[in-house]
Amino acid sequence: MNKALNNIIISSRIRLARNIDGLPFPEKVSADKAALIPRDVYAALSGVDTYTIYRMNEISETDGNVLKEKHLISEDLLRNKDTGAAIINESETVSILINEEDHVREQCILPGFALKEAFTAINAVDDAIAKKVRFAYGEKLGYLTACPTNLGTGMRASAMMFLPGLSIYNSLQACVNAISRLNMTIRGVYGEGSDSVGYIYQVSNQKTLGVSERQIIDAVETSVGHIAEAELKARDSLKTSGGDELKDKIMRAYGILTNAYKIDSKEFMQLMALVNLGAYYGYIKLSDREQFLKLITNAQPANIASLSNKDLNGDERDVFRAKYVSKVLSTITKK
Amino acid sequence: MLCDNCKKNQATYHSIKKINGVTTERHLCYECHLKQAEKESDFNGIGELFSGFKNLFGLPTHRNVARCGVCGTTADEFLETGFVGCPHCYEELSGVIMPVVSKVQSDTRHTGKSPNGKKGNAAAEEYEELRRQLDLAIESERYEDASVIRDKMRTLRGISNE
Repeated sequence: MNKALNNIIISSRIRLARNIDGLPFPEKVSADKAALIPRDVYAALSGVDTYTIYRMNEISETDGNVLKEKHLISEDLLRNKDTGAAIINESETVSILINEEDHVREQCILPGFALKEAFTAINAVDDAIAKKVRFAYGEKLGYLTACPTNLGTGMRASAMMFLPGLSIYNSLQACVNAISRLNMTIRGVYGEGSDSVGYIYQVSNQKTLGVSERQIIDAVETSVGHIAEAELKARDSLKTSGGDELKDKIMRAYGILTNAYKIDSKEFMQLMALVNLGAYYGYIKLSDREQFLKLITNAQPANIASLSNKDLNGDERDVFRAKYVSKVLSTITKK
Repeated sequence: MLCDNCKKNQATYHSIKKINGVTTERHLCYECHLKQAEKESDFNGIGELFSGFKNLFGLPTHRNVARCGVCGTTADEFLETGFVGCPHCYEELSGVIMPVVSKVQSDTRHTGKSPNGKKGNAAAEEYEELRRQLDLAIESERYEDASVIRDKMRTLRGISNE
C-alpha cells in the first residue's frame, strides 16, 4: 500500500491562520500598521531556520507567479501589492503569508503522506512566532480569524491527491458526498471546479472549531485513506477494462512528452497524468519520483519562463517547455 | 428532565441528531416543541431559497445596523462579506456572528492548541474522549448512555444540565 500511496498522495499541507492581537484584521487595518507585521514575524523566526522575505510590491510578476505555482503563496496574497509579504524557508517547505485574509498564515508542505510531520514542523514555527508576537486568541473561540470558517484551531490540513481512476470512472462525486459527511471537502488543484486538469485534487478539513489539531489530522488521514483505497480499486478495474488500448494511450503520451517540439501547459498536464499512471502500472520505469513531481511544478508557465532565463512569448515558451520536459523525463524514466 | 428551552416544564420531546459527525441533542416540553417547529417551518419556506446570503444562515432580511464599537464593522457588512473586522467583533456583534459560527462550524467551543504552545488542556482532552464515547453510544443506539455522556460534556463546557 505504501508504494501505491506514494503514487496517489503527492503532498501534505498544514496551514494555521493567526492574527496579531490588538490590530483590526487585514481588510480593516491601516497600511502603516500592516507594514510592520512582516518585519516582526521575520524577526521572530531568526535563528530558527534561514528565511527569505518576499514583499509583493517588490517582486516581479513572474517571480510572484513562480511562488504561486509552487503553492508557496496564494493569488490573494499576490494581489495585495501594498502590504502583502511572504517569508519562506530555504528548502521551501515552510512559507508564512503576511497580510492575506489573516495577518499571518503559516503553512508547511511536505512531499507524500506526511500530515503529522508537516504539523510538527509548522507547530514549531507557530510557537517561535508566538514567543515574540501576541496572537488574537479567546478561550472560547480559540484563534480569532477574519472569517468564522477558520476559528478555533485556524487549521486546514490537506493532501494533494492524484486521482485518475476515480476521475475517469466519474466516481469523484460519490467521494465528495462521502467525505462531506466527515466535514471534509475536495477540489481540483489545477483548473476550475471539480474538473481538475491532470486529475490532481486537494482533500481538506472544513471544520476548525471544536476539534483539536490531532482530531483534524486523524480525520483527514482517514478520509484520504478511504479515497486512496477507492482510487486503487478504480485503477485495477481501469487496467482490466482498458487493456491494450489504455497501455497504448499511456505509451503515446510518453512518446509525445519525450519527443514533442512544442507543448502547452494544459497538454503537458494531461499527458503527465497518463505517464504517471503508466509508472504506477509498471509500463514506464520511474527512477526518481521527487524529480517527476518537481517537473510538474517546473513546467508551469511562470516556472518555465523563469527557468529559461529569457523573455519568451507564448510559442517560444511552449518550445522551451517541450525541450525541458523531454530532457528531464529521459533522465528519470525508461520503458 | 426539564425542557432545554423554558427550563420550567418537563421535557416530553427528545431528539438526538447526528449531522456531519456532529451530534445535537434536544429535550423540549410540548409548548416549546410546538413553538420551535413553527419557527423552523418559517425558515424552511420556499422564500429562503431566493433571498440570498443572509438567509443561508437563517437570519432576518431587514437591515441590521449593529456596529462593532472597536473597528466599526456593521452586522450587515459581516452578513454580506462573511468577514469580521477585528477580534472584538466576535463579542460586539455576537448576536449576529455566533449563529453563523455555530452553523458553519457545528460547534462554538475551541478545544485545540493555545498560543503558549500547549496543546489542549486536560478538560479539552477529557471532552474529546467523551465525544468519542458519545459517537459510539449513538452508533450502537444506546441513547440513555448517550444522554448521560452528553450531560457530562455539557458540564465540562459550563452549560447547565437542568
